[in-house]
Amino acid sequence: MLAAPGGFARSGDQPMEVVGLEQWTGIVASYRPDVLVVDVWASWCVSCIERFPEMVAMAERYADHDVRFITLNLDDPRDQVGIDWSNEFLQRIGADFPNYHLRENLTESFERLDLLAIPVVLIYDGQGEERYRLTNDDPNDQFDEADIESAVETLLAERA
Amino acid sequence: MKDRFRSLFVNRPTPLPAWVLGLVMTTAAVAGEYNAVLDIGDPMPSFSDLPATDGQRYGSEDFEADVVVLVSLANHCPWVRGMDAGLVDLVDSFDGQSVEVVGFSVNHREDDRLPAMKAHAGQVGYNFTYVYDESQALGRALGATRTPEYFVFDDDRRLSYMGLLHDSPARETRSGEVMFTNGDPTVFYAHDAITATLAGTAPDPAETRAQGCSVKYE
Repeated sequence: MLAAPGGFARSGDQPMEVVGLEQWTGIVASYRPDVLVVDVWASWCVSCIERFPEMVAMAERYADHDVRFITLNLDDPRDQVGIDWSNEFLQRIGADFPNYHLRENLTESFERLDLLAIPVVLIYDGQGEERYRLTNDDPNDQFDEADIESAVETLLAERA
Repeated sequence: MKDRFRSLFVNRPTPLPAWVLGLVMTTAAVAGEYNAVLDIGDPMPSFSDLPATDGQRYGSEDFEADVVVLVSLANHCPWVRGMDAGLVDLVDSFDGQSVEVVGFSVNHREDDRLPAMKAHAGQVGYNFTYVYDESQALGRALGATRTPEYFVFDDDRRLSYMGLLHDSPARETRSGEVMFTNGDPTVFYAHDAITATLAGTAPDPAETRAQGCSVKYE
């Protein structure tokens, strides 16, 4: 089952919907809010987990705006312990927005998504165009939560 | 900056004024395919007085081997822990040859600082110098943003290779097992690069996409 935009992505009673790379492109395209925020993370990414509560809080702060938050989990599809941990974590932390798990080889995922490392936050505008790619790939230009909020505010202002 | 790397930043807002960006570009005009700061052929950043797990302090001038390998590490990182054995084996494989390996830790989290480094090095049997880059100057100068990441420098201290240990990055899982991303490794990039550099030839590939944890710069 794929989550319809506005719905809560679930597979059985788990928070994460399992998807492939080809589906993922379509999923992103299916969301057309004023601003779409995609948090890319994994259970092995300590810094992803540490910053996740702020992402949940941010989603709550923007609940009255047309801003959608979704997550993409990159745990190894063979690592059921890690996947189970991620599902439990999402439930425990109240990540009540669509969460997806990519069932792909990690090396291929990084190449196809053009990522060097996670956490990464991708932010799309109302036309579905990726406008911000917030990474830690430059030691002199790493992102923080203020950068996410600034990007969201910029895109919201464009829609006003 | 090469096209592939530029694509990572094409949509980023630019928080710095143009004159600052111009200054940055004059000091780092060319970056690697997977590195925002360093490119193949660039000189090894100098460093000094970095404390190590053996109780000594080290600078770049202390390493006089024909090949020096700098490796970004982080005790807390499951990818580092998953590939610790491979790193120790790599060092062993060049025993008696003019190769020196220097691990460095950059993060400020407690479990990556010197006391934890000493404990970790002892537990896993690190057989190389392991220094703490508390100022993060070395990490920044290398453009080291992932752990582990290998930087191989030749006799002239020019970068000949940067990236992966081998073609199947391994991670320690939450259940304590080591999981290789792509099965048994078949291409040993760092070993091959060191061998080529010792022989005075250019490694091929000279750069690979390191896969690991993000380094946090303060």
